[in-house]
Order: sequence, then structure tokens, then C-alpha cells
Amino acid sequence: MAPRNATASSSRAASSSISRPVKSNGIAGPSTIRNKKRAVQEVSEDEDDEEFGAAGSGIDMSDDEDAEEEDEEVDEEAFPEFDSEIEDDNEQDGDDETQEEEEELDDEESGSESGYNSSDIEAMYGEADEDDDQEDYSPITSPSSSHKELSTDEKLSKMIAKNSIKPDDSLGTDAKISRAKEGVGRLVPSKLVEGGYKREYDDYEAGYGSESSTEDNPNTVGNIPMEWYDDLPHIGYDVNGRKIFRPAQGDELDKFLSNTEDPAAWTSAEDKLLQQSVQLTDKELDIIRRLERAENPDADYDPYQPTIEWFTGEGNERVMPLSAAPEPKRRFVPSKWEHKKIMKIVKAIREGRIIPNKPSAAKPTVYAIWSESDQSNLQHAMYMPAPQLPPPKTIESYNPPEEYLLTEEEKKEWEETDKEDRKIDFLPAKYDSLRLVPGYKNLVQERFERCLDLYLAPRTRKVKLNIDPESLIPKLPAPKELKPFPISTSVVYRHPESSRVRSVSTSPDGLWVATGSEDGIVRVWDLGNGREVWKWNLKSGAIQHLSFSPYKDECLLIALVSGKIAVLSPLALVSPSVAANTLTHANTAFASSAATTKIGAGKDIKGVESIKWVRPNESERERGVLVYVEVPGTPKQVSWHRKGDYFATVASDASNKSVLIHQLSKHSTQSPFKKLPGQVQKVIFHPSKPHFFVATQRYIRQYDLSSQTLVRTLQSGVKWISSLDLHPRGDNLIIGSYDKKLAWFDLDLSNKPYKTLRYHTKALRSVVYHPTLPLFASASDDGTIHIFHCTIYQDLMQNPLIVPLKILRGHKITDGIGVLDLSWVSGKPWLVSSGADGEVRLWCS
Amino acid sequence: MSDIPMESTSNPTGVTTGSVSQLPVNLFTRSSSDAIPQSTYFIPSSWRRYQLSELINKVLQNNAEQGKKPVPFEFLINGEVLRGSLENWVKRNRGNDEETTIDVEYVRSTLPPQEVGRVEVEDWVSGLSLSRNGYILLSSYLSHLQILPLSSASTSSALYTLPLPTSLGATCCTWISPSSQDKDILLAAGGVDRLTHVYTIPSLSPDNTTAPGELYTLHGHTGPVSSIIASSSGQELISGSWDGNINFYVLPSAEPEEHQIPSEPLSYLPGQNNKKRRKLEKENPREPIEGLLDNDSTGVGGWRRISDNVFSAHKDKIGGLVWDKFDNNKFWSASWDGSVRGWDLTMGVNDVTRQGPFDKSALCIDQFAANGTLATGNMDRTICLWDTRQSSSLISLTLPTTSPVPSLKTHPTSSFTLASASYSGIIQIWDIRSPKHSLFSVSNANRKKEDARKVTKNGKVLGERLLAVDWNGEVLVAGGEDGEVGIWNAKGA
Repeated sequence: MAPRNATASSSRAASSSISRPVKSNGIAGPSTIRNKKRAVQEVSEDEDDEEFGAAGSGIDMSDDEDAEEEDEEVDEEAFPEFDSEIEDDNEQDGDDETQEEEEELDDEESGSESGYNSSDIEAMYGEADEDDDQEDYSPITSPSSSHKELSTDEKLSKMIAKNSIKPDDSLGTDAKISRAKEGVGRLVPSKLVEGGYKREYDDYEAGYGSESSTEDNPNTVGNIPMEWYDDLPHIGYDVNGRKIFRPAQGDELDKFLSNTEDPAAWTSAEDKLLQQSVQLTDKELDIIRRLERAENPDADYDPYQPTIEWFTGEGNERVMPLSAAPEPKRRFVPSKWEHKKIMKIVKAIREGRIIPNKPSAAKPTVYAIWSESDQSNLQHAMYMPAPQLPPPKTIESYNPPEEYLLTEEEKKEWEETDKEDRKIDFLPAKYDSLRLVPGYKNLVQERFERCLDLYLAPRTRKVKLNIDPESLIPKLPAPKELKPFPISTSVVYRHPESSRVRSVSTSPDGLWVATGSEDGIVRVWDLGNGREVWKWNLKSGAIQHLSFSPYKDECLLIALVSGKIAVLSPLALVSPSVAANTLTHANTAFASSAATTKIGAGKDIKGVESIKWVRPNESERERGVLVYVEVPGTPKQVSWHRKGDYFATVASDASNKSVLIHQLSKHSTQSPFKKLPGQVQKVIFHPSKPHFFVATQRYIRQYDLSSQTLVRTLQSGVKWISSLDLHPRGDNLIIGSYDKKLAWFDLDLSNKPYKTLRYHTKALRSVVYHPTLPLFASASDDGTIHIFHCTIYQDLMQNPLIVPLKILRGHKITDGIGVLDLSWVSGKPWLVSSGADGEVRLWCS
Repeated sequence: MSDIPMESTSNPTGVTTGSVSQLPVNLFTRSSSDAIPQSTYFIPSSWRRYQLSELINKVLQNNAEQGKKPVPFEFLINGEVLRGSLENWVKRNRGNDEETTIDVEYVRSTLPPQEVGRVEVEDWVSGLSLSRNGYILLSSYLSHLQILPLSSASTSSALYTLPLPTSLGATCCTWISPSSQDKDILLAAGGVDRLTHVYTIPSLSPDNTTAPGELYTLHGHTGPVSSIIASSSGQELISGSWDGNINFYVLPSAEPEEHQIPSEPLSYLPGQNNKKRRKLEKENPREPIEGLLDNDSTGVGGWRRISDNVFSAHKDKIGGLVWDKFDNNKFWSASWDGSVRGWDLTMGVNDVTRQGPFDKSALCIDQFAANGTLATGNMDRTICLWDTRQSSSLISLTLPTTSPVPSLKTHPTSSFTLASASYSGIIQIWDIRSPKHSLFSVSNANRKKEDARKVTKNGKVLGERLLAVDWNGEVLVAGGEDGEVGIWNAKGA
């Protein structure tokens, strides 16, 4: 009926099920409740016993002892009571049967479900009894094994002692609650209350049980390397926080003597915590010895314990394998539950719910092929139907309509795509009749894969990176949002004979454009309409470079030709006050007499003797040529200091005098570098600090001019720097190189470029920042100018934002040279560019 | 919906309506004289401008029987002039949707400009004026003013050539005296030398014997003069300069006796006294400017005068000035800082300010006579219309061009048409009702012949850029970098 091998763990459920019918009857007497309780107890004991068996020696014996006691009690009472109970139950059942048939019927299910009845419990109980019996027997049988070494009891107690180490709490319990009651303290006159007495006691013994804590004067410094105290007079702190001073240490001789004289010296060890040698006890020495022999350090451990024969061996033989208990009565009386069950069936038959000998339903002769009703195991909770293949489509037909067939291009495309990427995994083909259809070569492969699908077999899958390539591009604002910036040519400044224009510069007020071309003429143009309004023919070869002074109250232009620096001013074009300022600035250093030449003021500086500040002749002065500075070599670049008094020139062929710094108001020239690190390409002044940037072929060096020191060296990573510009705020720098690269340096960030951009197809000639707007431009030999937006955030954590905006095309490439120089118009998003084709263009927004 | 006013028999082109699809068209106009009854007409889709024009004339009964001449009309759909057939327009813009009603505006047609003649000048033409009937006043970078009679313009014989006392060039010119004045006519030119030179001409008749001369030299600017305008009375002159200031000069009624300021020093070089300089000048008198035809020497300055008032609010170059066409005490200025300002002369204050984008540098300005709308030509290749009456609106309309517009001129009477010249050498006539495309454009560059001058006699490079345009409703003149003044007959509606 019910499984007899019910495990102890499920016996709780059994106990509750026992109580059920009793409850439902509603006549449960006190004895039944008691019985129930007992049953529960017994079951729990059963549990304990089994656990004991399973866990072996790891069980708590104190409980076991209690259980044994209880067991004995139960053994005495349980049998008769339980039996009588059952009888009672049966009787009651018999009485109540007719009245409470329906209730019973309701209970029927639960009874059968839980699958236990009293007989099961009894069976279990019987088993438990047997276990108990065995245990009861064991003390009896144990003396038989005592002849070996110890009695079983002793062994057990030993085991218990070994396995249940309890903290010795006797001290705590023994400690007196109050010694005042005992009158131990002595009376002392009180200091606070006059005439009063106060009881004083001796200090408490801390009474720590453990050995380590009772050590006197422990060093409480903690688990730290003791070397930390090497150079201190103390070695730590005691419990009260007082320093423990280093005990006196003998020298090496003392140590040697003590080693030889003291026989115990070799068995002592140094306690690092207390810096003294400690004599090892015999016990400790024993542990060391055992460890040396790779034994268990515990002296009490006996690896060769004798086997304790509990049930075997001489004298332990079992007399009777079965219980000698008399058969319980229930084995002879008919089962109440079976009776109920049968009655239920009888009732069902009477009511017609069960028809005996019912003929089985005839199987239908025709099946609905696609219906799923024939799948018998559909009701199963874990049933999972195999995935169905999709029904065939028209395209899979052997004779599909024409529109399903692929064109040649589609076929080619199909063949070129990867197998995984194909939208259809076959090529649709058209056959007039089914018999012309050839064999399908992929059949086996497909069936195999279908099987794997059904089997849910994991197969390696080609993982495709499903990333939209657009999303990898950094989110940059659209150029439209960053307007204005130069877009197209508005004005062309035409040079006669299309001579190459090497340099271009716009005046700080944005009115004039100066250009220097290879025919040796410096021209000044009206920026707005491209009219040439002034020109100087310097008659000494190509104009290498020119630059307007950034100082707005003066109109100074410096043009470089071979061996000469010309300081020019279009005096007729500017207002009289500006002209007067300009002239005063440039001429005050000339002697008031008619002295026309002046040798460089820095005579004491070695190497600048050959530099002369020369006054031009009168006709030249009338045209606005203010000063000539004769310098060695051919100066190639001029860079103004922002205040418009100092300017630096670079003449790369002038060896150590290639970089010169000139002061216009004093007509003096300095050579700041005695020795140069390489061929200097470009120089530039810092816009706010007294710093000076020198670009050689590969490196940019930043010098502090006031302290004459090198601040930093920037490693450009390019092969040959062609141009250089500093952001007007002074923290960022761009360089262009002949190897087509543009590098952006964030001076606060690193000595390496923050960004290296390579987008020109030929060498870069010029890079320039806009003086006020967030724009920069680069010009190249490929004839294009690239315009970029660059926002530099005040927040130092944010990197500069660089957005390419526009490619300006228009300059023609002549002799492999495209755009040569660029200059922004101050205050406007306009750019002036000069090209090798003899055109200078103004690009407007 | 509506009746079809035309039967196939009355169809002037003989197009049968039966086979051609018909489009619902709403014809309307803004001019009251040409209005036809408002209704939706079903018009054959193959009709073009001509047929539509005939239709309107028919409805207006502009035919010989009524004693009226037929008027040619232009048709605008969504601000675009109808160039082909209606069908084409529908195909292009509506995707063959033939059922939606098309709103067609018609305006009296402007005839395309016809070239009448060209006058060669030895340098770039910087300014042109047609305000005096029958004469062209031009200033050029050769630093002179010329008065050309319009009748014999093609012969290029200048009536007068007035040299400036500088070699830097003149940038602009204007007539000062009103057209009614025949004698002692005043005219002025602004120069790169920061001065405005006022000349007097005894009379414009060819048999005049007394030589014209510079009467006043107006000082006060610290940058080249960019624009000068004179009041209708001929007594006041306003000049704008690159320094951002606008100077107001009142010309004296009688010739003064003395200079208001001393002359500017000619040399600022220390250690060089003026005596020597003067001596030098005496020995070698100034040479005539190269390229002037009739050996005119460089002019000498007139009475030096300073400005009576200075208006300064612009932050950049003044691009153009225009006197208000309704209020004589008001004028407008456009600047390179992108703003247009209105100034009150009696109060001497700036009472209207319209600040556009800072990079929308205005190169010129003019005002429509009919409604007071301002038009500016800008460096960013647009012509902008500024509605100054509404305080909120900024730029009411933008006409796109291909290059910067250094000069533009509105039609003297119409409130819709204007002529513009651009740096790409194109003269365009615009109807602002069709802002997408100009009505006509005449390109200088295309017209250039093979043997066209590349360089003038004095070595100035010539290009195709136009710098100045003027239009009096009948005649249009334009000149620039090509060193020529082109004259066209252009009648605007």
C-alpha cells in the first residue's frame, strides 16, 4: 500500500497525515493527542539516529543521551497504547462510517496522496525499535571487546572528550557576583565625604582561560613587521598602552658564551615580539620534533588505533537477526483504509461513474495527418514539441513562377555572399517537369542539421559583429551648426605674370592684405575688393615671408628678402596718427642726425656684429620703407611678438645665427641661442607668457626667454615640420609637416601630439589658427585648404573638439606646389590664401 | 467651380482643349489696374507664358478696338518665374498632380536689358551715378571723376575729367546739386586718401570755357571713404568710411575765405623739415597721373573743411549709405559688422538698429522708393531685404547670388525690382516676388571677347569683377574691374 522504505526526512509529513483522520472525526480524545505527540517525538528520534549513523562520530552526544533516555521511556509505553489507539480508531470508524461517508470520501484523496497510514508508522517504529535495541544491546556486548585495550564506554567518553571541546566556562560561573557581600574589601576613609568610608577591593584577576592571554606583559603592537621598531628604543606597547622597552641585548660574545655555557641555549628561540629569547618547553620541543618527522604534531593522536568490533568477532555474534517481538495485531485485522477505498469504488460503481468491463474505444480508421491530437504525450508537463519546419514556399517549387527566379546579377550576388548571410539558402530553378529535377546534393547535410536542431545540439556559431559602422564614428556636430566659416572665394587678388606668392598677411584692422611674391614686390591690397593700392619693389629677389605687426595702433609690415629684413609701412593709406606712431616707433633709435647706418646694438654679444640696422634712402623712405636690417643668410620666416616691438626671424642657412630676435624700438638684435639643436624651421612667440617656441625638423622646443631655460620639448612624430602656429590662448599648438600630417599638441596634456591628422595628399605648407574664432586652417601642396573647427574648453578635463568643416578648392597646382600661405582676417570668419599660381584668394563665409 | 472663359475657337494659338489635359489655375495680381475677376480657370496644360499673357490681355480687353496696347505679363508660381509650359512646371514641382489648384501671380513683364554701348576707362571703375538725366558720373581708381554724356556714351568722350589730388584712387562719387540746378553744379568723390573731394562745374554745356575745380576738401576720416551721399537740397553731404564713422558735412552757401584745419603733413620722417620738402615739390611739380587721356594734371585740394557731425556706432567699415526716400532728415547705413542702422539727422542719433550675423558684411545699401524696404548686398553672396518698419523683423528676404554684391540699385518707382552687380561680373535684375532666381542676368565674363584687354596701359590687371551699378529705371550702367562702363537699356516695371 504505502512505501515501507519511507525515509526519516519525510516522516514529518507522515505525522501530520496521521493526525488527519482523527481530526476529521472530531472525537480525538486526549490520549490520541498524546499519542500523536509521541509519534512525533519518536520520528524525530528516528531522524537523530539516522543522522548519527550517517555523520558517524561528528554528532553531539549530549542530545543523544537524552534521546536514549526518552527512547527507553517510550519503549515501555508506546506499544500497548498505540495498539489500543488503533483499535479505538477502527471502532470509531465503524460507528461513524455511515454518517460520514462523504467526508471520508473527501479524505480519501489526501490519504492516498500522502501515502502513509498508521501501519506504516508502526513499521517504521518497529525499525526504530530495532535500532534502539541494538543500542541497548551494545553496552552489553561491549565488555566482550574490553579485553583488548579499553572498554567501549571509555572509548566513547574519550571520543566525546576529543570531539566536543567546550570552552571552560567554569571560571565564569565560579566568579563571584559581588565581593562586597563577602566583605572582602577593606574600609578606607573616603576622600570626598568627610567621616565616610569607602570600600576598596583588590584588582580583579582577569582570569582569562587561554594560555596566551595570561602571559605577563604581552606586547600588543599587533601583527606588524617588527623591523618597524628597529630604530626605536621600544618594541611595542603593553595592555595599558605603555611602551615596552627593548630588553638589554648582549653582544655577539655574550651570545657565544651563553651558547657554550648555558645547556638550555640550544633549545631556546627568539620571540620577535618581545625581543628576548624564550626557553622552549618540552611540549613545544616535542611538537617541533614531530613536525620534523612529518608527523601529526598532536601527541595524543594515535594513527594506529585498534579497530573496535561492535557487531563482529567473538562474543559479538548476533543471536537472532529478526525481532522477537510478537506480530502486531494489525497484521491480522482488515485494513480500515483498504475498506474505505473499496467502499469508494463500490459507491462509484453504484453511481455509475465507473463502468466495469467497459469495451475500449474503437480506433478511428482515418487520421487527420496534420492534427496534433495523436500526439499522446501532450499532457506531460515537460513536453516540448520539436520545432517544425516552415511549410514550403512557392520559391522552393521545382517550377516556380518566373518572377521568383533570380536574374544573373542576383545570382552572382548570391554566390558572392557568405553562406550565413544569404537570404535564401538555395538557388531557385525552374524545371518543366518533376522528372527533370536533379538530385538535391545538400539533402544529407540538411537532414543532419535538422537532426541537430531537433536534438538541440549546440553548434559553434559564427558570431557576427552586428555593429552599425555609423555608430563607431564619434559624434561630431554637423558643420552647419558651426557656421560661420569660409566657404567660397569672394575676391581674387591677381598678380601680374602669375608670379608665385610665397606669403600673405592681413592687417590687424582687417582692411588690407599684404602679399609678397617671387618677383620681389610687396603689394598691399584692399581686402574688400581686391584693388592693389600700394606696392614696394624691394629689388632683392623673392619676398620670402611677410607679416603685419599685430599691434593695432601702428601699421608695420616686415618683409624678408635675401640678406635683408625690410620694415615697411603703407603710410599713405593709414590715418595720420597711426602713421606718426609707426614712424616714431621705427625711427627713434636712429641718431637724430643724418646717421644712416647703425650697427647692431648688441655688440658685446658675440656673433651679431654683421647685423646692421640701415636707414633706407630718401625716396624709399617716402614710399614707406622705414628700416632695413641686414642679416646673414636668407631669412625665411618672421614672427611678431604680440606687443609689436620684438620680432624674430629664422634664416636656416645662417648656422648659429639662424634665429634672431630683433627689437624695433631700440634697433637691437640678439641671437638667443649659442648653439642650435638642429635646423630651425619656424619660431613663434607665446601670446601671453615670455615663452618662445622653436621648431626644428622633428621637435618643437619651448624656451622661457626671461629665465633662459628650456621649458619642454615636444616630440612631433613627423619627419619634417613645415609650419607651426600657436592657439591665441597659448595652450594648444598645431604643426604641419612635409609628410602630409598635421599634429595638434595640447601643451598641458603631453609632449606628444594629442591628435595627428593626415588628410592632405601632399605636403602641408601652412597651418594657422584664427585669432578670435574657433577655427583653424591648413594649406597644402595638393591645392586644397582644409578648414577645421576647434573648440578648446575651459574645463581642462575635456579634450579639444576638432571638427573638419570644409575643403576649399580653387588654387591651381603649378610645379607641384599648391597653396603656400594662409592668413585669417581678424574678426571675420574669412581666410586669405596665397598660391603658387599667382593668385591670392579671399574665402568668405 | 467656374466657367471656362475661353472656347477653343477663341484660343489664340489654336490649341485644342479637347486632347490636352486642363489644369485648375488661380490667376491673381497685386497691381489693381491689371486685376481680372477672381476665379479658378481651367487652362490647357501646354500653355506657356505667351498664351497666359494673351488670356489676361483678352480679359482686360487690352486690344486695338479698345485703344489699348496689349501688355506682356510674367507669371510667378511660388516665387518662381514660369519659364516653360504649365505642364512642365507641374511635372517638375508637383509630380503630375494635376488636380490641385495652382496659384499663379502675374506681373507686368520687365524687358530684358539690351546693351547700348561701352565706355573704356583706363582703370577700375569704382563708382557710378545716373542721378542727373543724360549724364553718367563715374569715379575710377585712376583717381579721377568723369562726366560722360549719355547720348554719346559709346564714343567715350568725357565731358569733364576731374582729377583727385591723390594717386590712390577714388572709391565713390555722387552728384550734390539737385537736377534742377544748371549752373555751378557740385559733385563729390570719396578717395582712398581718406578725403572727400567736392568739385564745382560751372555748367554742363559743351561750350563752357571756365575750368572746373575742386572747391572743398572734406577731412575727418581716418580710413578710406567708402560711400558718400548728398541730400536732395544739395547742401548736406554724408560720407561713410572704413573707420566705421559717418561724417556729416554742411556745405557753406558762399565760398569760404580760409581753411578750417591745417594741411596734413606730407612727410612724417623725423629730421626732414617741411621746407626742404616744399622746395623739392617746387622743383619737380607733381607729374600727371599715368593713363589720363587729356593730360590733366593731378588736382589740387580745395578749401579744407571738417565735419559738422560724426555718427559712430558701427564696429566695422561702413559699406554703404542711403538717404531715406521719405524723410529728408533720416538716412540709413550698412556696415561690415552685419548691421543696418537708421540715423536721425535732427537729433543726431541712431534710432534704428538691425544687427544681422556678424559675418554678413554689407557692401552696399539701397531703399525701395515705394515702401521703404532696405536692400543690402553682402559679402556672403546674398542680397538681403530689411523691413525697417516692423521692430521685430530682421531680414525679411534673402536673394541668393553666386558672389559678393558690391553694388545694387532699386528701381526708382517700383517696389519689387532691383538691379545688382556682383564680383563674378554678373548684372542681375531681380523681382523680389520671385526670390529664387533673378529675372535677368547679364554676364560680363561671357561677353568678353578674345581681344579683350587684360591689362591697362598703366599696368593695372583687369578682371571681370563689377564694383558699381546704377539704374534710373530706363538706363542701367555698370562698371568695375574690367575698366569699362557698360550701358544697357533696361526698363523695370
